[in-house]
Amino acid sequence: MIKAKKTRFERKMVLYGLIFTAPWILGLLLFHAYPLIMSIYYSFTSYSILNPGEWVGLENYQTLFKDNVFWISIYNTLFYTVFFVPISMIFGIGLALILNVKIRGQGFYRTLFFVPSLVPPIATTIIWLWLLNPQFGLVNHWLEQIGIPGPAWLGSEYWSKPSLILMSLWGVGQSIVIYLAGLQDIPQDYYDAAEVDGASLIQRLKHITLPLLTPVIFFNLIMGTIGALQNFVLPYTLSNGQGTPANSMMFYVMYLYTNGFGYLKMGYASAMAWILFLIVVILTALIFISQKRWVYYQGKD
Amino acid sequence: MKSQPSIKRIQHAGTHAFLIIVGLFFLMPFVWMVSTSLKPDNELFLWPPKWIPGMFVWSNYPDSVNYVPFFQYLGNTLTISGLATLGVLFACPLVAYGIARIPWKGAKPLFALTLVVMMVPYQVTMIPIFILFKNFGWVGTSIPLWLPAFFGAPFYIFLLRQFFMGLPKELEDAARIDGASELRIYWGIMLPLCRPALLTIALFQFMGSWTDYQGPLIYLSDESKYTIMLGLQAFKTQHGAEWQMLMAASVLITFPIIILYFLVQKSFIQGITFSGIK
Amino acid sequence: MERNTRLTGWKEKKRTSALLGIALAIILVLAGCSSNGAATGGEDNEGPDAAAPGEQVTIDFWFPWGGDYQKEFKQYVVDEFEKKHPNIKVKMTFVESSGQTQSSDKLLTAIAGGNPPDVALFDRFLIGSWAAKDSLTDLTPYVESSEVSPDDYYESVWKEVVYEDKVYALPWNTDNRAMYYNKTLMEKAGLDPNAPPKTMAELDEMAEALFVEGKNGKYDEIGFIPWMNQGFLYTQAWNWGGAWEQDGELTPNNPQNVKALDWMAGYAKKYNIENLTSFSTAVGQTGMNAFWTGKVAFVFDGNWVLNDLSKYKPEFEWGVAPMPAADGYPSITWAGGWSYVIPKGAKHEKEAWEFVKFVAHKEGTLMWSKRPTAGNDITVLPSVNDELKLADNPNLKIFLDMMPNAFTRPVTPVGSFLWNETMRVQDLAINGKGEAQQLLDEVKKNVDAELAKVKK
Repeated sequence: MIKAKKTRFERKMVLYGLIFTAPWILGLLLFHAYPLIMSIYYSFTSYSILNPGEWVGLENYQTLFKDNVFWISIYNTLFYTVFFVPISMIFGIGLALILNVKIRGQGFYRTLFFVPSLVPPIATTIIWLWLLNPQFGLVNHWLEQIGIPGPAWLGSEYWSKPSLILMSLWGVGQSIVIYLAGLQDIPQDYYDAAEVDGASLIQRLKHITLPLLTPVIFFNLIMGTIGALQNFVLPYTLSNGQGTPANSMMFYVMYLYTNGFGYLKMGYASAMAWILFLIVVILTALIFISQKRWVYYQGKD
Repeated sequence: MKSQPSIKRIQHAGTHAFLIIVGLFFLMPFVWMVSTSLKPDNELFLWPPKWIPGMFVWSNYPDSVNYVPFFQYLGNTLTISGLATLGVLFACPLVAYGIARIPWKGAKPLFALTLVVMMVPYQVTMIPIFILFKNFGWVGTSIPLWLPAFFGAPFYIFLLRQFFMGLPKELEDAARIDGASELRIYWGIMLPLCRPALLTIALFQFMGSWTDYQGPLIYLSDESKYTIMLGLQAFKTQHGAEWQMLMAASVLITFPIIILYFLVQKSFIQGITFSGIK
Repeated sequence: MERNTRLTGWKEKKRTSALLGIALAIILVLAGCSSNGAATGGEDNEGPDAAAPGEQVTIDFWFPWGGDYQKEFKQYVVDEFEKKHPNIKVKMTFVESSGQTQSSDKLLTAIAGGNPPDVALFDRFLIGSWAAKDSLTDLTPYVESSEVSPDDYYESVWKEVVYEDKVYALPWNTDNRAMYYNKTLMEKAGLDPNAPPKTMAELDEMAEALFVEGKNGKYDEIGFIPWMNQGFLYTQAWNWGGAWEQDGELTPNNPQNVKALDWMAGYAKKYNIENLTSFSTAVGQTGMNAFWTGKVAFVFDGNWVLNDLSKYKPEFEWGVAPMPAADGYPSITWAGGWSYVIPKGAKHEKEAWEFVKFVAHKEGTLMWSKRPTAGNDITVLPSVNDELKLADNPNLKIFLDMMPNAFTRPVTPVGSFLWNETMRVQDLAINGKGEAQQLLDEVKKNVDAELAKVKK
């Protein structure tokens, strides 16, 4: 009898599951699965956007592995991801915690840190190029006044990626918002109880705030990694699509875009997309496996 | 006990100082944008750079608004952003709830698929999606820019799923025992608890549509339907740009969402925490 | 009980799979339509000349330029065209070009989707690769049956619209490059400000005298940087007597090209690349130009800079001269510019040609060039330039006189690729990553491989 009851419950749940997710199942198939399948197909052809192209089998993939710039772009992209993701997370969590302290002007500060994410991208890049210009930019002007010879920033192959990370940190406001939203969801009860027990600020942070924030941290880690691996707009506009100096700013999706839309080699670009896809899947899977060790969901029993 | 308030005050002063210093780094480019928008031609590329223009050219603002049909573009952008925001607010929590809180076999694979579709860069799926919309006969209209939002967006579904997963399980167990239907649990209990997250996705979607460039570029072909991001490109000329007007228009575009954000973050503070429920 | 469970489970599965099946069917149908659309150009493509004669026709015209172009082009040219052709209306749409390629993602997607515009303002540089992909309408029969003659245009400019003996566009405007020099700095260094360098050797010598070191080992003043502004390996190679194409073959590793790259890398070595990039990264999309600061003695730049110089009014004396060439070689300028094309699949080909012929031949070009804001534009038609008396402007005359012997980039299906490759190795060479010979050999290998793929 118990089993039958459970079955009825299970059936009901499947039905509800389908009802709740119906829009997404449709959307997934239409706007995501279908273009994905097309891009797999393209990756085996010489599709050029303007021509349907021919079936070339694995040729695109074979050429890729012999392509120098392809490997450079992988190196640059991984370099950027490995440094940017952790730095931005520490930066974001730290700022969110401070912005969550109830002080005067809290709203003002929160807005302040979010402003960069609101500026139109076309203006952002121009302003950064002006500010970081090695010879005529404001940043080096200041550095010189306090006696530090400023680097060539985007003009130097050693400084270009750090410059890019600096600029990307400027847009950390988005993830701060997510952390802030997560912080609002931590029950005040826990803190009240901790206060009664006489827990210090650090203890509260370590035993309440951070563990309960892990689902959101996990989210930002995954999204940050996917986003960093697909980094495109900023380096593309900064280096005018060339990846200069000395290929140090040639990122994966930039090279993909140049192939697809610059040289009209959409088949080749699609093959690149699928290799990136594999890299992302592996990295995400690793993060997911690690999740059991450090992510804490209240909803799980 | 008496020293407590003064320690707090010192802590607060420290917090203020820290926030102001880091805040300057965040604000600098924006201030530079405002400063440039008010400069005369000959001060644009001055060395050493000038923060405060020698002469304020306020006319750059009315000029920039008249340079392109600014308010028409603004209206178009508002419509698209509004509809898309409505779309994600309808679909994403629903789907996320179905994945996070309803115990059924489809949840896991569906979630995995949701993640997977975020992993292929937009650049390669752009053309097939365009052809799809073309077959629907929607190219040249703004439908492709907001309709997909009503079918859910992976980023927000993932985000909301994280939030739903974080809610205590006792909530729905108790309600189920009381005989509440799933829709009721969702609408009456879970959704209100997610207000901060809902506000977040609404804000992100609005901003995303507001600053989207590629989408409108590809789908809109009638200038009366253009968005402001497309309008901004019109300040670029063959060998340069109308820098001051470009910056003035950017300031005008940025301002409304700064205010919107200010208001939204206020309700963050008022966001319901469920201390009372447990 | 046991059986019951399994049964419901099975029913469940059946329902789910039915749902999935329906969805999949929808997808397949959609996919079917769309691949069809991609291959044939779409079903709403009625082919050329759908309109009966005399019937009112609206042609779609896409252009990638912001600024005043739309307003002025309509006022001075399009309105006149519509007056002359009362049955044709022109709908102008601003469609931004993307990135360095000057190509447009939007134009690409539109052609792929089967609904391109009737006319597009198009970078001439891309004609080779787009024509090779069969995406532009062959205008040869139209040109032959009209009063348009290749002789009306500068030779180099006309070359750029012809691919494999067929005409794919009418050239419209042009720009070219020369050397700007700072007379004030030359005077300060004890050089004759009215005798700018004529050969590479003179340039090297004068530049050396004009480098002024400041604190931190950086330069306060710069003599010359070969890759600054419009200094590209392409032009430097020509002025060293090199070539990018000979007898229908691409020749990036021509011995003189190698010399040119060596010479460029020599500057990077001699004056320290880090200090030079400080100056040379200034321009590009930011509008900032190091030359205006008065701290740069020589720079290669385009005729459009004449407009900027009158707008920003620098506080020093300057002049323009042809770019110096290596001993025994003529000075060569690089001419670029835009053209009007009719994409394949355009719905109103005949009317589109009427429009192209009007705007890009004498009548329309003259109307456009007479607008008050024409500044220092050069047209592609020598007769129009004469009529406008452009040669009366002494600075512009320098550019104008170089047009008959100007070079253009080779017309080839791999034009963009060759350009990016040369930019890549130029960047590598000046950053000390590889020798000129080996780098350009690599370019040769890469472009040949690309070409083989396209021709296959």
